[in-house]
Amino acid sequence: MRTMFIIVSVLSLVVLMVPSILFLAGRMELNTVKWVMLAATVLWFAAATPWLWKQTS
Amino acid sequence: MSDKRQSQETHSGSEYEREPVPQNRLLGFRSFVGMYAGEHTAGTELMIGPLFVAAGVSAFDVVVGLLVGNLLAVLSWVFMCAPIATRARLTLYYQLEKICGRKLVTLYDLANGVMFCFLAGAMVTVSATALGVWFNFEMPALDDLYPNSLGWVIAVFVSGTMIAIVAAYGYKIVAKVGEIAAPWMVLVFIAFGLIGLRQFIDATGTQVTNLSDVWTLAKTQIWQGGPPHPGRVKFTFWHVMFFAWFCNMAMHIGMSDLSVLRFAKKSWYGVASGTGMFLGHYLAWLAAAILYAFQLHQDPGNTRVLPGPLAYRAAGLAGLICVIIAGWTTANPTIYRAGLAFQAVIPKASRFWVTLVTGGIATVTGMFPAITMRLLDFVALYGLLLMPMGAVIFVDFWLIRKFGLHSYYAERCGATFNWAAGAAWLVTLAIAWILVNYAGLQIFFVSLPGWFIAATLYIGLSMVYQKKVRPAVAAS
Repeated sequence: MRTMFIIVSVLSLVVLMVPSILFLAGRMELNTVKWVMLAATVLWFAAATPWLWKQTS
Repeated sequence: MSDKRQSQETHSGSEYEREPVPQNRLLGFRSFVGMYAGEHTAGTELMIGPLFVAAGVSAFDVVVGLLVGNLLAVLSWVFMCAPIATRARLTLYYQLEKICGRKLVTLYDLANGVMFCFLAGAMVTVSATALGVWFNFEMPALDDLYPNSLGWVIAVFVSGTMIAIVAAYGYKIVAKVGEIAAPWMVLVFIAFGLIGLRQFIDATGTQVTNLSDVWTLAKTQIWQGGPPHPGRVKFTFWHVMFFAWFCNMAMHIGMSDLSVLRFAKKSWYGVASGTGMFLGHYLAWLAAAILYAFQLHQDPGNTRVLPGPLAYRAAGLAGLICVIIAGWTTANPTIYRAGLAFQAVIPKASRFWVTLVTGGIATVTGMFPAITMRLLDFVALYGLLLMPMGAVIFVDFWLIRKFGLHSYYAERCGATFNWAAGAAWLVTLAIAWILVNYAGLQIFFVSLPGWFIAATLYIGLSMVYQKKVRPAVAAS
């Protein structure tokens, strides 16, 4: 389970960054960028909290 | 620029406050990498980058100045703070107490607490700008000193009160949220820069096919290097370099991070501060500056530096959440630490109420945009104020015995106020004040000569002090 959470968290960070890179390259609309970034944000906190909560001191 | 670390730097509730950290409790390099990256990617980064633009900085000066300044900051951690931290393995406060005595440390606490209060106020201000996007009230302009709308006062009051209450109950949960948010936050900051860059490309019709084109865009559109906004100091390469170097002066040269790096296995772990410097104080500052420069490009009359609207225009709700979390997670521990510093001054007061009152002061401070809009000057002052004690610690640890004097003299002679250290601190500040007010030296440059003045004064005054004040019983 923990491994799955870690994988999803890492993927969410990739999803967070890719839209801004695509926007810079002129391949994505800003509105879409904003929505994808919001989705990635929700995903990050949902997936990272369970395993990082225990890890952080 | 700010801090998310816990109470190991305080007087109560932390580990190994009055003894060296034992070998089995030392931490690995990775612990420091994460801590520094998170600590220096704070809400206030969204203010500093734009304020550089308002200061009329040029592209070369900001890009290279930040590179050099941040490198010097990392070297200061590595060669000034970490070697003492990993040898003595004591908290800043205990080490200071051994050198200066309890009463002088209390005075230092007071100064530290007041500065933390103001800094937390700036962070509350940053968070409140995010509420402005939702509730659309009038927010402060670049030159405002006082609150300019009821909505603004209410927003700061709500943000500040929430932060103060959480800090008073112990901010561990928020600290955890901050640590979890750190990797996400760094990437959102980078995304701000990428999005802002594209917006510039589109708005100016620039053809960008290689890095040289990006550099031309940076020079001609983003950091044009023209005159500063009215009432602002013109920033050159030297301003940027010294600002980047000294904005965390209290922590490296000022030795505040002794309390953190005493847990490091090796002194070279100080290089971990590079993550904070080059992610938070380089990429984040540049990214925030790009957003502000784009705002000016679209409407030259809109000089307001408001992180909430800037982030929202670039990244929507994700950007807004970033501003709130960045402001909240850094304001919380800052208020908590300010409260602990004040509690050391009034030891009988309950930590809960001291923290709550401290949060209240920070909230009222946050309502007045003067500090936030003058954050560059405030941060320089913050470093300057605490720096002389860093010089005292450095001299006491490495040099004082070479002059035939004793280190840790307050402990040795049972003094509660080492006048040599106290005078070195206060006289240095007085000289700095004279240099700034009468000799035309700007506050960004005064800390460097100030360090040497403090070091020299401490040695000279210790020669007199240690002759006059003798230990009651000769130490071995």
